[in-house]
Amino acid sequence: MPAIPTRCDSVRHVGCAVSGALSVTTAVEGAFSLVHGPDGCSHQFISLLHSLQMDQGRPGIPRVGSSRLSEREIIFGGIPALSRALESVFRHHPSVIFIISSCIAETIGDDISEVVGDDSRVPVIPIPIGGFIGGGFASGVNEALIRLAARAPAPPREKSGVAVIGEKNLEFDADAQYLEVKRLMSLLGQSVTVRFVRSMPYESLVDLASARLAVLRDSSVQHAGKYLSDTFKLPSLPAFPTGLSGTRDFLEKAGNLLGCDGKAAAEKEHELQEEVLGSFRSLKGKKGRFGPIPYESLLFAKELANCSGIRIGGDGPVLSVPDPVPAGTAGVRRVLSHWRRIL
Amino acid sequence: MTPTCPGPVWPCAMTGAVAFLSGLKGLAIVIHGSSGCFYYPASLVGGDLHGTLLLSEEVVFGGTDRLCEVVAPLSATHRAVAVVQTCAPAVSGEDPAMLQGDDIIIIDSPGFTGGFDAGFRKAQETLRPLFDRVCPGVTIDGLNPADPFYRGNFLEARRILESADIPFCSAISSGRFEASMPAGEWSVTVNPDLVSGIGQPCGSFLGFPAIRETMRILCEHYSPADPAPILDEVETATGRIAAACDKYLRRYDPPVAAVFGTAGYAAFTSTMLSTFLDADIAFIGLREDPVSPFPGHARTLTDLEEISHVLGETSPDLVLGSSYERAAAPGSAFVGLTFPQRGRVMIGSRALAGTEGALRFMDEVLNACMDRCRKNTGFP
Repeated sequence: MPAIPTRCDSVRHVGCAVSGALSVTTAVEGAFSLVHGPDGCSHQFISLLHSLQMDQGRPGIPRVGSSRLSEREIIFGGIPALSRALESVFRHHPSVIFIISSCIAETIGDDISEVVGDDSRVPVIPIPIGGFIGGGFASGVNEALIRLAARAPAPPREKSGVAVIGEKNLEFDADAQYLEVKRLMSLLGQSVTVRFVRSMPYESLVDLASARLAVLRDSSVQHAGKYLSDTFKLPSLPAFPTGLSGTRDFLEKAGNLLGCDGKAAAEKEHELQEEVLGSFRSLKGKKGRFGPIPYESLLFAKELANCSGIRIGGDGPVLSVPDPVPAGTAGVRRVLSHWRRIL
Repeated sequence: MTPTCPGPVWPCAMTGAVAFLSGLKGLAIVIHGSSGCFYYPASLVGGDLHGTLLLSEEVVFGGTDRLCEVVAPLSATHRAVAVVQTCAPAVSGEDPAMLQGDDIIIIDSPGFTGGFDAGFRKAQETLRPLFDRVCPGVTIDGLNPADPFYRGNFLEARRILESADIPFCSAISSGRFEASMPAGEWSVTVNPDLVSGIGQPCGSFLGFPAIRETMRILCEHYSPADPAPILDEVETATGRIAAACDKYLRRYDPPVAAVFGTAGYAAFTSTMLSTFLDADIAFIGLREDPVSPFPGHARTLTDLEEISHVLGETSPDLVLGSSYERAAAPGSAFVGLTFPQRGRVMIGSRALAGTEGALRFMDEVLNACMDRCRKNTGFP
């Protein structure tokens, strides 16, 4: 994409907060997400999600609507249109309604919280992110997670289970990443009680408040992680584990936070990792190189190359690493399998 | 218009304007807005696309400096730069017209001004004065770069003109951008919804009756032209389609069909289905309000939830539309008619216009219907 590079290029490529918020709100089961903006804003996300769903072979219809702002509302204000849209959304019997503001709504000064009354039919959660005026995609994700978490009940005295926070719902292999974390938690005798938010019923917010540990997807949801830590005194791990030693460290840290034997779990995982590396013996002595990849990915790639005996040099095929790096020992296996096909 | 639109399936005016411009090589397109607004048209149509990728402070304090920063280097390397407005800068009091230079074209079609078609037409209107070099020959009109039939329709229209010894002049929107672009004395369209008004319109190549009539008019203007090869083709194609449909109907019932698309395509395909296959057209959903009265019953519908409801109510055997409709009616036979066509490979040049377009369309319809019947009955 030949956009003009500038001194603050990366800041300019952060995407839209509406899409970020929608990536969270559309993952709440039975929810309806209402974008206060022109139809085109909702269409962009629907198109993205639709494309992803078709790619994954699970066609569906995202429950995303629009308040249909047109030139008239831009001139005279869009709150009456939003009120009418909200009223019509109740007919869809949603479990919860999210209202997300677009950049144009923010620019004309519409305050979406005005339409949220004391209606007890269904919870209505405003997310006044204001499109790109409120930040990029990640800002939208964090804001939606925080606004939703604020509706969780007070934590009970007895806590249990693990909460997975901020899965990337637009990631092609999001469920595969989750399953690996779930497996690792089982080594500690723990179960994941809530995926905040992926295919989550609204009622599962109670499990968020009562969790003993939060595992964040990665640093992009650190603001939401901090909110959970401050509000629910919920300790957290900052990211899904990656790499061989990274996965063992993850187990030890999780064990410490949960008050269980993380060392034993890490040792058991080490045995599995040895077994995995053994199945890639044929890679030993092969030669490859790394292309331009992010620093974190490079550390991961170097560890794998070192442990599997691949020689890294100036020539040989490029050994690519998926972005984001796949989680856990299962992720290591997937990447080594990919490299074996290349080499 | 309903108060809310659950699942809008039609892009905004800004995207439509970008789609039109993307057909013109040598023209740099700058989307004046955030990266969020930039990514979608970039994924839909591509082209020589750039963005100001505005930050929030540039909406508050003005984004003109940023616009100049992006446009200046492009202006040096391209024949011209088209700036397409998005919603936030359009209402924040900015005037991109302050950009100096004959090579700067401003398209004022922010998303809130309407749907894809409104933006497409706005870009057409804005560029129309540049098609001022009247040349002998025919302009092929109605080409939409976001359309799955974009390249196929262009190739088919050229082939028809060549077969009749009628000179080709230019295509809209396709070809090289120039400060003064060629406009044919006459024009034919491959999509009646997108007539630009460049050249004297002679008709359309969409459907057999339209092809016959258009060839008659064109040949009045080009005396050495010979319509016979194309008229023969139309007759042969009509016979082949009729024979294939008769054979189908000996074994299967006429399908109940639901058609979703732009008005011109919906009218053409629904007529083909009822004429040759005796199909019951249960519903026609249009992506936008038609530019001229629609021949038959149709409703403008861009709300995916309502589309799903209609499909549930009518239970069609056959659905023509986009991958949204395909997802909403997984049990129906499906033929692609409008964008997007996700989950399908479409790298070849398919036409909908012309004799080849009509033949290909009926191929797809009959094969899709037969596959569904075989699957449902278990018979080979």
